[in-house]
Amino acid sequence: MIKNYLKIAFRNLFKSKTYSSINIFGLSVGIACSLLILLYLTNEFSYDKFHENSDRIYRAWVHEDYGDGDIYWNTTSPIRLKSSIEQHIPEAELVARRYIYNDRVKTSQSAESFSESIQLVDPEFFQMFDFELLKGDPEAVFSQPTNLVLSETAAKRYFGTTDVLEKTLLVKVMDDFMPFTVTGLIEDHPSNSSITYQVLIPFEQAQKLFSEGALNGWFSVSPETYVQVSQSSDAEKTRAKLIDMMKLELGERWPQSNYTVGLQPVTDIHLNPNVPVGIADVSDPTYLYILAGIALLVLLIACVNFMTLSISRSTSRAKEVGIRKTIGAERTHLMYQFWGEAFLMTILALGVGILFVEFMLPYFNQLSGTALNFHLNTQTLSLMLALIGFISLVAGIYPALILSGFKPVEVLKGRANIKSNRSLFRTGMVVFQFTLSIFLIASTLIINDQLDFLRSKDLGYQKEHILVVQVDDNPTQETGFTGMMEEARQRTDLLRSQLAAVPGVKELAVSLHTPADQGWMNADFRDTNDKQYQFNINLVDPNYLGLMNLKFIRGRTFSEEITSDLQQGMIINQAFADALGLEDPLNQILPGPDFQNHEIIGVTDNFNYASLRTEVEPLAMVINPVIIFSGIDNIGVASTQPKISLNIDTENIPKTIESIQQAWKSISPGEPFNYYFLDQAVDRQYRQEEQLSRIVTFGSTLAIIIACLGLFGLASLMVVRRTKEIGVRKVLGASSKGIIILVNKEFTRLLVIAFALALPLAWYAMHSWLQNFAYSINIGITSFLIAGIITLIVAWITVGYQSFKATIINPVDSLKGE
Amino acid sequence: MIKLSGISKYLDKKFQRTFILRSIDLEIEQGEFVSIMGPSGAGKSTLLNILGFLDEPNDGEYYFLDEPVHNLSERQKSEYHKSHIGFVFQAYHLIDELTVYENIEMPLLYRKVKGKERKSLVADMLDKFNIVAKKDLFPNQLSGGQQQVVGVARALIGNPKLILADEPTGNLHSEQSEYIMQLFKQLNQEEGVTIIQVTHSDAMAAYGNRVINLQDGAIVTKNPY
Repeated sequence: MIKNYLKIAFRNLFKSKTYSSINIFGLSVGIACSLLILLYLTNEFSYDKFHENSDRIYRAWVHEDYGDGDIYWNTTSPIRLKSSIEQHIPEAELVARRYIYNDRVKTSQSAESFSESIQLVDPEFFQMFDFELLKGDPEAVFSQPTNLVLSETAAKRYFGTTDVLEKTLLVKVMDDFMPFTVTGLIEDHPSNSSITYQVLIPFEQAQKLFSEGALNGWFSVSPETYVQVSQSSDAEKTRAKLIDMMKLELGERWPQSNYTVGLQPVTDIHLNPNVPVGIADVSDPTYLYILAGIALLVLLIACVNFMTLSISRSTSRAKEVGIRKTIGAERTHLMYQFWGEAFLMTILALGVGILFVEFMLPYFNQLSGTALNFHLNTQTLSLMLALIGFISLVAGIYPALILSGFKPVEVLKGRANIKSNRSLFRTGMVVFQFTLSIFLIASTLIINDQLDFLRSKDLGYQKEHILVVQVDDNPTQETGFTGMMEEARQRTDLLRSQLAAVPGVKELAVSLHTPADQGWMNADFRDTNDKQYQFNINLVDPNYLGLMNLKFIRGRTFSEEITSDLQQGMIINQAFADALGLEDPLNQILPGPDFQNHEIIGVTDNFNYASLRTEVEPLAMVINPVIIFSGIDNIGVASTQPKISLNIDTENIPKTIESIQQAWKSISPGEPFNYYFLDQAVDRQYRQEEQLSRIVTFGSTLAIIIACLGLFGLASLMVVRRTKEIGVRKVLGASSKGIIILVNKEFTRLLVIAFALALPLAWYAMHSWLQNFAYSINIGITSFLIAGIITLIVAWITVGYQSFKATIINPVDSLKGE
Repeated sequence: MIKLSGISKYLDKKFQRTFILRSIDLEIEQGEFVSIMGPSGAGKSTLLNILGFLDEPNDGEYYFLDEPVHNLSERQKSEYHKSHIGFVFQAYHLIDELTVYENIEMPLLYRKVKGKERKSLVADMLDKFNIVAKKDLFPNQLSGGQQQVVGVARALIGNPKLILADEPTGNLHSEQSEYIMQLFKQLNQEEGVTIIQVTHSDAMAAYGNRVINLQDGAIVTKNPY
């Protein structure tokens, strides 16, 4: 019996080649698309689960609540938290901290140093996590404070080999390069690990990096603290013990801050956007959901294709149903048969789909920024089995349930009164497909419009032809920010004199931040009425505002001639003036009680120094940071490395960069020359949006291709069915044009319905997406119209071709068969 | 074998009831060869369909081998289709995707006959109808007469007690028609198979031993032609 079913399924497959290839192609694209995205999703959900004890490892968070919404929640924690947990929480088996700082590393042989992210970890790190130590003793790699562990990649980078034990690497700790002995080689972290590393040194070195206050205080958070609890521990009890621990540690100071320590499962870090970001990498799950949604849509469109096409073919299959029933087939026999055919088709489609996956994977990795591999293993096999089951069930549902119910008398006589509701179903499916297509196309257009807007909006400063060079320097305890800025400024002066002869460089200036920096220095203070003000800070030199071509609403920029500018001058933006409630802020001061002598000398317009997702926030720019630091309550510092901005000529840029590099090497020997263009950095802020745009474009292209394939098949079958009608019309004198219009009219009506359905859906989806931006376009009707017209034209071409073929048949031939 | 009493079939359309069959009383004994005749629209095919359980009457009772058909479930009906009734159609109704051999074999598959037995039964049938040479051809490679021979072979392979033929020769030219009718006659006389056929042609009706004339859904005694 099964042999007979298979035979008939295969012969049907080969008999109608167009139909079969449309079906298989459409399904295989749908399968490939969903396989890729499923691979991606499983990878995302597998983060940090490879540790043997992943269900017992937690990351500590600290939470301070001063009332009135004055809340601080961090997943980086105080340095001393480890010893407190070890002392008070008996179920904590292992406690390991990790802290990352960026500084320079070099080998003893080379004069040049390299920027590296250096990680301080406790020795427990190697026992808690399942990162394999390829060389060295996991119990003793950090027996000395100057031991060091390298990842395979880092080992090859610095020594060209993985045979690195006992070699010496010089690592900059604060002001000096310190020699470290390599005692371990660790495998590169898996791609699905939130914890990443290159160069690891013992946490004891923190003594040199942090001040006394940070080392022993509870209110300075730097490292992440990971805790492995015992198997028998009770989460509820541990939570209570952690609260008791903090009450004990802070004593009578506790009620003021309501200081609590909690634990977040390590497997939760990657995809939980509700917990603040620490050091570990996280991803935004919203985009995962969008991705999964698109995969499902494409797969659904492919399944719908399968259904509509099998409905159209049901006229011919109905006869078979009738015959089989008269010779004794039961309904279940026929259901098995039709589902079996869907299953066979799906398996073939899966084969082709796997080829597509192999072919598309590199491109997909580029789209999603991942390094996925496709292997046949139990995981991918079970994924594929699930897909086959899902698709053959969904795609085969119409023939299996409806066709098998046909009455033999009716179908054998050729009068099927089921026709009307069948065509309603088919119509519904076509409308569904085109609604999705128009939805995706309109969304693509709107996303791209918004991206264009983001890229081309006048940000209020010059971003073109500005080269930014990072000065690799951190403030030392002795000099502080003032000293650091001063040093950078001296270096800029040196550079300026060196570059005076280079024709390409017009101007250069120093600042702590440049637009598009992630996280600016920010601070807050309270005035005498206890009103709180928050603002961002940029430390600049007198030339910086001129170089950036900022527009002033009131007052003037800094001047090197006026000594008071250098010591007391402050320039704020309009948003700050508004926040302060000052009509004319010139010559005024900030309303905090403790600020040193200062004076607001200018107000700029609200230039977009951050991304267009957020409104422009208050900003103060000063040359001397002390006038601000003296009066504020809290400060947040994201980066302490000053930057030199160079305004360069458009001509011969590579040569200009070459000259700048030469000059840089001579004034800062051994320091890497890291540079970027400002406009590129600004664009990079919208990388996620660009990724989204590429993925949606990809999805909508696939959707429209598959939908049109379905339409093509549908139109060809419809034309076959109406050949006689067309013949009769021709005999009665209809023109070819009239007939093409007649056939197209039916589909056009469906498209109009689809358009009407897609419009509110796409508007709603895009409107919610645009809420992510403080500055966004207005959704006009144009994008929808274009989406509708594209779909209409593609559909007309598809259907028109088929109907044209029908009209050129001689009516004598088409009518003879009757 | 067959007993109809008061069988009626009608269509209700808004205010009007159109009768297709009016109160048919009919008895057919095992071993008869009956021809149903009548003009187009007389209800011949509907009657045949009712006899073959493919259609249901609106009124009346139908006993097949003393079993009340109106009480049979779908499953029991399909059991009878497997074991007692064979159909032959005017348009042959072979499955285009299957070869001659496979078309003839198909009823045995639904009857779960073992592979070896199936093979010998189909071989017998091919032999009996002289179509061994054609067994691997598809229906569209055969002439109409040959297709109908395959249709008859398929109807017979289940060894049915009753063959229902709806204008079996309607699409055939006279020579082919005669061949099919000879076949029917032979089956009827030598193997005792009951045959009921619908036909327009007196010549074809002459092969049978009884004629039922239908006009406007009712049995009439005289030949309506």
